[in-house]
Amino acid sequence: MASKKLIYLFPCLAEKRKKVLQKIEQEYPEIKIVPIICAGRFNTDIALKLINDGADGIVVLGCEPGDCHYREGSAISERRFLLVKHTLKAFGFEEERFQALWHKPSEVKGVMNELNLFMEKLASIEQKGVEE
Amino acid sequence: MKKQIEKNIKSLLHSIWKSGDMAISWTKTSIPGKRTPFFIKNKNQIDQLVFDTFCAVSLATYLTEFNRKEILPEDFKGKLHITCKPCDARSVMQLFSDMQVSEELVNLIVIQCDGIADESKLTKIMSGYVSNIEEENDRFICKGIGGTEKSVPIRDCWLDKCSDGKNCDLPYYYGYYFVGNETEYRKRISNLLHTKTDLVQDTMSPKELKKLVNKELSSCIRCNACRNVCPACFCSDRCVFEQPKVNVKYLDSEDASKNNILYHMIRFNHVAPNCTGCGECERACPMSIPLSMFYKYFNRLMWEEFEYKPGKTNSERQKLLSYHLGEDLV
Repeated sequence: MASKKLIYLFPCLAEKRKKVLQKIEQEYPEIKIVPIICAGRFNTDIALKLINDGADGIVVLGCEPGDCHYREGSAISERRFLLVKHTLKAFGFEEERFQALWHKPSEVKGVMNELNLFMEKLASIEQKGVEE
Repeated sequence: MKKQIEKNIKSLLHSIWKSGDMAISWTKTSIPGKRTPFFIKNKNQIDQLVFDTFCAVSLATYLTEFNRKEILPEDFKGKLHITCKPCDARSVMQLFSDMQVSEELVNLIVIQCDGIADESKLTKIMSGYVSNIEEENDRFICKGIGGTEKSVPIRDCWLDKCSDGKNCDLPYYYGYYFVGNETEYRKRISNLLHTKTDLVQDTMSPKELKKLVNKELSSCIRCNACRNVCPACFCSDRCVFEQPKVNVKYLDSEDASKNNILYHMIRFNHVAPNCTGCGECERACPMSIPLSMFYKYFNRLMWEEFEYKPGKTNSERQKLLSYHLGEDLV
């Protein structure tokens, strides 16, 4: 039996992203969606707090670097997200719990595919934990 | 040799001193083996300064306060002379490149250092109060309670960072005075710099590591000593942990180890891009938590991902703040 997961999704609020968000809401009702202005605005301390408080996974959905409405917004955050992953690793959390997805706002299929992969990863982490 | 270096610092300060200057250095305390920071405001105070094997305190931290003019009189117009070991000099350099301190106001005096001893380690070896310490070649001759005498090799009481030797390199900077023999010093450290660091994060699985981290950090009392002493943690009055109007409350006042982990996670996440690995956080910790297991990981990460070593120059901006379109990411 799959236990209920606590997953947060932080999408950037590009105009055309509504379609993807609707699809995600339909397919994964357990994902909590918290819209933010831009992926570059995402405060990484919040990711650390949520994971430390027991969240299973965190996904940030942003535009591809160079494609961002705020020019270098998502590019700066890419480095910051790398640091978050390593902070998690240094303190004994699984770095796979934090994931950033870079897609064009109008894209639906690619996002759903990567989300699927992410959910599978989380499931495998959980299984590992049970086995140990 | 060490007395000669101390003499040279004094004569150097005498020769460059102008009225209105200030200097930060070390001086003796009533406890043997403890040196305390010392602010020289007059020329006749220079002779009180001390440099020897126990000057463990990094004075770079005071520059961040200097930036906010907390330790200076308001009409200060002179120069601030600061005496540094090479590892502290790199912290100062990082403050220059982070634009926290103006280069024109600071005069850097780097001192040749052959390893710094930790006073607390010595008391542990002597198992109690040490009434008198004398240095002879490579050994301390200590007198304990009841007249017991013991000779301890200096190497046994070194700070952890000194035996590692990764932070001993001098920064690429033209404007510092070097007290001691620079060529000899460079020769000594050249073998030390390229040693490999073994970290717990490489060998342990996440579950084991989490157990270890939990165990180590559960003794944290969140006294903020590591934050206050860190030269890279320079936004003291605007710190995330002390913002009254911040939207997210990060920490509960509850002293659970879960909160302690978050405290250190956020702190290291903020400090990582400009941590020079000076080890002050570990030295200042009253609960002696081995924080080196974390900052060493981030130091290595910065080098492996960005080929960037904090504190190397006075001009290179840290990698998480500087980005130009078209530059290579990650």
